[in-house]
Amino acid sequence: MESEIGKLYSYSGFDSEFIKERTRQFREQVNRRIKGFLTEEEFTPLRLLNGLYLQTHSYMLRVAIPYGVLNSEQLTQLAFIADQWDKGYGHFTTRQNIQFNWPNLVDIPEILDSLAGVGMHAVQTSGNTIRNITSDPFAGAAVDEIENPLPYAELLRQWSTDHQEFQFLPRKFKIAITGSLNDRAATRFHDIGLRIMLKNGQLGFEVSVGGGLGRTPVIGTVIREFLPKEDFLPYVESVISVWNLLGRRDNKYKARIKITLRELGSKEFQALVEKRFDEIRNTFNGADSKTLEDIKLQFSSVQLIEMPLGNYQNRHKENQGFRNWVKNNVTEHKITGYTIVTVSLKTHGNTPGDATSEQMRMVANLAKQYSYDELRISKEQNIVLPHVHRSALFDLYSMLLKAGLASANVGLISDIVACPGLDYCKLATARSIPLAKELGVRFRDLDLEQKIGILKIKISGCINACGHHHLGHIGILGLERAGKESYQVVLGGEESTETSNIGKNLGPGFSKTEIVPVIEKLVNIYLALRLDDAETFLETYKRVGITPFSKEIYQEFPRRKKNA
Amino acid sequence: MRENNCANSTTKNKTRRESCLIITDSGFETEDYRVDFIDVTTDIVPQALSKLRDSRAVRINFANFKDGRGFTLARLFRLEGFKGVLRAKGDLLPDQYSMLRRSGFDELEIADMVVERHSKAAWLAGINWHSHHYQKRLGSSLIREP
Repeated sequence: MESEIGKLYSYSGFDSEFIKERTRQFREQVNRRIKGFLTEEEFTPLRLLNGLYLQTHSYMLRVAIPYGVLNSEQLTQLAFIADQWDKGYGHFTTRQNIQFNWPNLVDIPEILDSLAGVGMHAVQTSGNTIRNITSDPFAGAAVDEIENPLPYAELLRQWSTDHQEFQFLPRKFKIAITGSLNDRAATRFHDIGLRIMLKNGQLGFEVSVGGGLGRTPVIGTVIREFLPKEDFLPYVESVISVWNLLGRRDNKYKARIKITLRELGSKEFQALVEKRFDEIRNTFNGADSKTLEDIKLQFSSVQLIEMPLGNYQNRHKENQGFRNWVKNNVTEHKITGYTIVTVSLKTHGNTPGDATSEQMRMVANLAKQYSYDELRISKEQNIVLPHVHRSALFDLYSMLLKAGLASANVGLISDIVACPGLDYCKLATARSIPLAKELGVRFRDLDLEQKIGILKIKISGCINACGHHHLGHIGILGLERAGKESYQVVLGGEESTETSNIGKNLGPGFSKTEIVPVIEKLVNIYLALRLDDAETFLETYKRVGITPFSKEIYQEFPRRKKNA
Repeated sequence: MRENNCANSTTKNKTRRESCLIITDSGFETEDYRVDFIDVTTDIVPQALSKLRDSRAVRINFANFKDGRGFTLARLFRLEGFKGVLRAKGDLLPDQYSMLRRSGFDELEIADMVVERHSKAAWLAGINWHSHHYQKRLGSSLIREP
């Protein structure tokens, strides 16, 4: 039996022409800046719209990986760019993009040209516009999927690219879309979250608005329980159209749609959106639905061939390392015999999300050989091979082991999400990468990781929360207090659809030297409290609350009283 | 003093008139006052703007080039059936000319010194605003092409 699945979107001539033209325009903009025609203030939003940031030590180029999907040729090209114009590595982000931290301004147009050569770009990866659309890294392969969200994500990509109304929004705008019951895209923490739903046999979307992290973490509000799929684009446009006029432009900390929603009230906002939707709906003459059908065709389909399991069962029985890796890094596929493999970029002691050019080429080759030439980047900053047959798992594992990429730690305590922090980012108030590395090594040395089980640590180096600390089972926020790094701990964050929760503050912060022992203590408290091996950290936390944790922690790490 | 202030302005007790250029798809024009424009700013609510839909000419004044409200206002105004001349005014960038045209504006009024600073070539590059246009393919644009 053969099963056909939708696969990579292949760029049309229009897409390629667009990217070429856009790169040409940016080259001109850089020239105009150099000649002084554009002031720095004018150039800034233009370079941001093309993914170019100015960081602490250098420019940083953020390359879009639309909805986190790429093929081996593209990943190989990213490796080439890392070698040619950067320091031989790249950093995969929580928004499924890749960042190059050390490019020179003069090289940027050439980098963009070489990206365009493989159908990639850096358009709208920053700036006050609609950012890269994010989605489920298991899309098209997940067991619990209602429908593959990627064609819709691609439609959103096309529509939002260079959209004439939305290049100068009050602030950045993030959209996530999922087609599964289990929300692996954290849709409720986006400016717009879209979840595919079935209602009376009809396909549509649940639309939430105003979710987000940053300094004001908010869970999105559902403003449409069910939106028929034909109305998808005009409705999204209505939301942004309403916010574009109402969003605050006087204070960038109050400009996001979550604040507009709060100030206006969600009912009022919803009414305005519905009204706008009535107005603009008819201007979409069905071309969007037709484009969607074209996109579906351009997602070339692939035949997954049924094969025997080979030596899989024996290897699984004999090899403890392989067994652990399968247990933690391999997920069931919707087609029998196939699996979804997560390649951990969280080797203990390494920077979360960093991959060297050599590793990128290696994984690209593995994807070609074992995963129908397809790769995904997850918001947990790992690489996913979405279509691997079980019979190939041991070979794949062996190759990853040789490359140092076989850490069996997906979802475990060392699978840490961290922002670049003070080492790179000029907004940061504390370092996050060294802490992530130290925690990874500490728990490896304790040999506790497998025993602890699922425990997500997320670290942000400032209140902008790029490391999603609010959503960590243990979240760590790095701040600066009187010239020193200070780390606050939050507990109990989670991002699944049914139970989205923003983490709760444990109490006063800890110094750089205390924070690793504090996390270790938190883990030990959990291990002592859990009912059995199967009860996860989060479940224990939900059962007992925050007090048993805070009480013991502050007994062992007492804070000086303010007036002492 | 703002660069885009093309109206009468007072400096050191002297009133002087700064000159503006009008940028359209056919290039640069100087103002010929064919029509009187009704001026509005970008904080106008859509309902108030819509009351002007039978006017001959409306000018939307952008606060600055980061003020993206004008683009949405133009689209909504055209949607309401406004058929007259729609002009943008403000210190916008040459790169925004195509966004103006795609959103429903006909032209941009801007101080000639700002035009010069950006170089005329940069402005003329924007005149090809209708090519490489995703939204048009998706049917979400109301704008007639030249």
